[in-house]
Amino acid sequence: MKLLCIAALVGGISLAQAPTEADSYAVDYLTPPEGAILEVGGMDFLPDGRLALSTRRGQVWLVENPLAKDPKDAKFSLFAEGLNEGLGLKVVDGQIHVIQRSELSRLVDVDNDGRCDRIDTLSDDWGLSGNYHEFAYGLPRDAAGNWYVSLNVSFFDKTWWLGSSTVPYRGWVLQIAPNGAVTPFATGFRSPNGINLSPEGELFVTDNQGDWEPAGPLYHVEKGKFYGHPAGLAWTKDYQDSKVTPSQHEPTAVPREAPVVWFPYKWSRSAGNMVWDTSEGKFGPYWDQMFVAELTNGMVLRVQTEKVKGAYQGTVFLHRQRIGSVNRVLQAGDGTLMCGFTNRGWGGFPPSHGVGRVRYTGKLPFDVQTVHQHDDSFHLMLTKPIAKDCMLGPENVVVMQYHYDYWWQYGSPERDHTRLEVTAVDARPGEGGLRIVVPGLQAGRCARVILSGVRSVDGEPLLHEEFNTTINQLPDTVEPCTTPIARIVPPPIGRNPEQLGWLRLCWDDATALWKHAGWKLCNADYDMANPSAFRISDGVGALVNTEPGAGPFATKMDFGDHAFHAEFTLTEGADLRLVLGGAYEVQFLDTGDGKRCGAVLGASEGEDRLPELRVYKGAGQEHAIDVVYEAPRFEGGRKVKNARIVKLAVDETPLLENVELAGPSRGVAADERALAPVAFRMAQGQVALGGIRALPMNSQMNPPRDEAGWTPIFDGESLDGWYASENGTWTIEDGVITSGGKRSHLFSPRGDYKNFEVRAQIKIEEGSNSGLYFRAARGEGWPEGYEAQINASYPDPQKTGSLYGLAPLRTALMAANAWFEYRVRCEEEAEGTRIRIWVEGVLITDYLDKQRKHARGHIALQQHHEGSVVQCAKLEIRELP
Amino acid sequence: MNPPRLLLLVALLATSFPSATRSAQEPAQAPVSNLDARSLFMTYCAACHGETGDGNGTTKLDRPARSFKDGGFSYGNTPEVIAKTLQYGIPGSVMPSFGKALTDEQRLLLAKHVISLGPQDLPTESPDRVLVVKDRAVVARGKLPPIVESGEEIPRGLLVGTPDGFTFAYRTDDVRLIAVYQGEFAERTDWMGRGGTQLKPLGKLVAELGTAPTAMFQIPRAFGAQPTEPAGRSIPLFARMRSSRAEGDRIFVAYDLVKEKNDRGPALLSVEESIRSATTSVGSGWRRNFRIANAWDSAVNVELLQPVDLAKLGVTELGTTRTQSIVITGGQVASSTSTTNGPALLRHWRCLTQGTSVAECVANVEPKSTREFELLTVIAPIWNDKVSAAWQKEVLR
Repeated sequence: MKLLCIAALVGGISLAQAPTEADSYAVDYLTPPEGAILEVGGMDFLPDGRLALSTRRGQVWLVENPLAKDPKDAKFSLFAEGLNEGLGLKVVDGQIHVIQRSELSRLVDVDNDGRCDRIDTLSDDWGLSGNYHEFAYGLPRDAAGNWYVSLNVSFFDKTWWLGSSTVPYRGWVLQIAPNGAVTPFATGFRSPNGINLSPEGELFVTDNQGDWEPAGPLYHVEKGKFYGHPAGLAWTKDYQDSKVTPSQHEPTAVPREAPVVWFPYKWSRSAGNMVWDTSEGKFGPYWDQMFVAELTNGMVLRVQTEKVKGAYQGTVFLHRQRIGSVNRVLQAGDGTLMCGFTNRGWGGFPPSHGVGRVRYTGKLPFDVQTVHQHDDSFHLMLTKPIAKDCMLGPENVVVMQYHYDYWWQYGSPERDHTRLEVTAVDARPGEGGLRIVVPGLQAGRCARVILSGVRSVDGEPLLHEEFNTTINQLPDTVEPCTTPIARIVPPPIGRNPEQLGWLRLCWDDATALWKHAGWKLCNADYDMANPSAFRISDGVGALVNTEPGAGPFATKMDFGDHAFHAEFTLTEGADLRLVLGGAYEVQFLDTGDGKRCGAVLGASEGEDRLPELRVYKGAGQEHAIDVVYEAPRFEGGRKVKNARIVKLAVDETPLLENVELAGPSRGVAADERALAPVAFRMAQGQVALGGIRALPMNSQMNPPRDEAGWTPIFDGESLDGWYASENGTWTIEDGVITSGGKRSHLFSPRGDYKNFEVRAQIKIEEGSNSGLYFRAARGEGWPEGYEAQINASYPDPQKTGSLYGLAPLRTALMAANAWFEYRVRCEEEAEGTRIRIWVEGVLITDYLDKQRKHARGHIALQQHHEGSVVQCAKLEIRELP
Repeated sequence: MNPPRLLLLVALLATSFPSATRSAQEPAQAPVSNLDARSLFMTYCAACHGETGDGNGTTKLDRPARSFKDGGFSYGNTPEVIAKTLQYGIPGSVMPSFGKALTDEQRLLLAKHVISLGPQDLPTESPDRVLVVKDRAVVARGKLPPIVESGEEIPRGLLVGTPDGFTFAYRTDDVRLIAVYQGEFAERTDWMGRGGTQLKPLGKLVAELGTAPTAMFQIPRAFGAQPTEPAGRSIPLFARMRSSRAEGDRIFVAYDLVKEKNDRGPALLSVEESIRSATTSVGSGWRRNFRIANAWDSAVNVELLQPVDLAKLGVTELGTTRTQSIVITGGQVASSTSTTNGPALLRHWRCLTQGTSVAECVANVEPKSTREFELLTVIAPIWNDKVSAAWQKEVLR
């Protein structure tokens, strides 16, 4: 009886206070001198125990007592300044070496006064074009004295993230001999910010997602091999001999190495360097595993690798979150993980500069220690035995597999999420092993595994229930898998790129399309000292409900069926509601267990639908919502079909599917409607919103459209009867008119259109400018007439959706290179000429011209300037009485 | 034993400047003993700059002296920076050096007075992106902006800031001096965004020395490429950056001379140069000291080229129509008469003493020894017999 009570009590405590990462890994921060901004790019220890660190501002600091019990006892002194960045530092024989953007240098204190007097240039035999993004990262050195340096590609393109390599050896890892001679070692890198040698002397590199990089990879780099980004291939012998520049848009035929792991995007958006735990237990139970800096999400990840079919692959785990913008990690002899922070221009988690320390408290966490891959199963070793009474079955494990696209667009979504059947979970109570049997596992995919209900002998739940394994190969299958996880997809011209065609609701002018009383466009920093409110400063980082009692942040336009995407960060205790259809609320509440991140709030009598999985990372962390919403259907004023959430995902993890919405959520005093705004409402706390976009769906059905009366004014084959002014060239191919040449306007044969609707499929290139004219007078120069502006990224602030000069819209609603439906209605009303403009079926502009400036005229298409390209198809008109 | 010494002096001089001789030379009056800023101003400045500092002085100048009424000094707005201008003068202008006539204290006082003549709220605080040179010389690496508007950025740049208020801009790819500035040191503009923006010299451009990739040294054809090449052609040498070193108020830039850009083998010769401002009664400029070391067992002949594009050196004060002169004294002058820089470049140069042009200055560096050169470049606002005599006496000795 007594024993039972104690057990219940212990159980009670552990339930109430589930162990946290901080219980096992304490974080503290050193105190740099007043005013010093340490944007850490490199760190190493001097033989006397001082820490040397280089910064992006070109300084090198020395830190005495970096491991002092009280972080305040660590003292900083400036050793050098005026360097051209320092994104890697290595101490060799007591001498500090720094990789600058422009050279590999040794920093010498000649007169022993604690300041660097001499900077020796060891090597500078690589190209710098002057482009801002030509970072050089480092700085491991092998046993033979060779240095390894990785060089970022340049970003020249008007599509800013499209990398190029116009000077040697952008996009390469270089090996630099002790005499400074450079050997181009391996290529295929984009932003290889992390580079290090393992204790066994093998070279590993992290890269960042972007063009040709679907997510952040970790590579094992070997000489002469190619890792995926094609730009650097320009400096290989084959390309040099053929004088061909690698295509920015077509995949190369050069064989590509698979990464050791793909970091899930929700965990890692900008990886830094990595270290191996060589402390033999001083840093906890993960001996010899790799710890990776992650600056955007502010944490350290853990990677455990194994060799399968002769190559490394492995598993990624969360390790310690909420540290700061960790760019560099370095392990001290006592096991302490020193963390150097920076995030300027790269995005990150506060603090954004300085030095932190992660120390093992000695409290053994209950965690997955290792995962070994078998053809039909994962064999896990946990850090503690499983409780004897903990009965586990297939219902305690979710296994999902997916793959990526290998293509030129920025990053790739996780493709083809497939939930696999778990047929057995074998755990021996009282032991730490766990076998998860998943017969359907496939190589050439990543696997996301989420455990639940696992308890240790001392009653603790798993500290991290999710891990992510990259399965390039299965070990026992005889035939090696030849399908990479990042798969070549058809050329982009034949597909609709992921974000194209979406209405970007906050791009450029973030609030023009919104009701936003009490909201502000600003920079919002999560402040761990005051987690219940953001630190607000001027900027364009996020939309925040800065005013107490701020109203809903709601679109001015109505949507029917649509997909919707937004990114959000909550303050502590914040309660965000996404209001769909004007009446249905989805809750995103900051709680420790994350149960209410993605909860659909039920109608008055109905129950809430809570998400099946927990993906919430906590306050101050950015999350992405993706929802597909189907509006209710009405006939004759009577609802005939309920609204539905077809899919709700957070951070790309599907949480709910097919949730029927029987009526407005509790407490919402609004009618159900087929067309309604999308809104955010804060029940409490603050949110920072960004990246908001919507994709209207079922435009033929919702609202129902009358297709009668439309007639083409362009027959798809010729421009007979059309008039092109000035010096343009207008060509036709496959029913598409394409503009070219110098300024020109292409006028419809008829010039007496008065009241009508006109519509077309339109696509415009980056930097181009065009417009759909109506009631236009034929002639040279800029035409007289109304113009529905077509402009995605030309410097003119009036963007697509504007009625030029009369109703300007500064939000860059529609991206370049995306096809969209443009529709204009123009008719005389009692008060004036009424003009409405729809983009993708959404009414954007509704304007009444009391002046009745233009009475009738041609439909015309504009070629604004030389180099501009606009395309138009399916140009149709419906005349109104 | 002292190494053999080769002294090379270069002065770039303009002649057809109207007579402003008086103001161009050290003021004749003895320094005033008191520290009254106003009387210092009246004594040393008002003749050109006017009693109220409006630029309307009694001395008749080809181009009016500047007014202090609007503030906004070319070389920076702090008293310390203006005091430096007083100390060193402005190369190529009639603004003389008051290095000897006034004490540090007097110059500072005068500088404050000059500032007080202008608007009262000039910003003097430096933002933290600004690098400041105090009593130690400072070196900074970064991407330099184009020297002139139509030029190109210098991705691998190095700025040397000396306590005398000069900034010397090098391109480290070939260790070439490309420009000289005077005033405040430099600003890092890349502490916003992702970085990679320019390291901007804040001083005023005093001389643009050209960015064409011309070698500074070559093995002269008359001698052959010793120790390994046969005679018969000149071989330009590539300067491979070795180090920068700060020592007190000097920066030493060291480089190896090799035959090919990416040659990481032993150097043919090693050079260490330091640079600083120079003032003479004729005008202000800069002084480069070269120390050339030969580690080989046989002598190496090296020819010093002067990679100065004179057409570009004209800045504002030196027009292309004016005759410019070059002075070579001491050392050895080769017998050959042709130059690799080509006659076009040297057409307007006039040798004041024996010799032809800098392009033919050859040093014979003995085995396992060093030679030292000094290259003095002065931009003088005027040139006449009197100045020439002063030059002979003071500089050529």
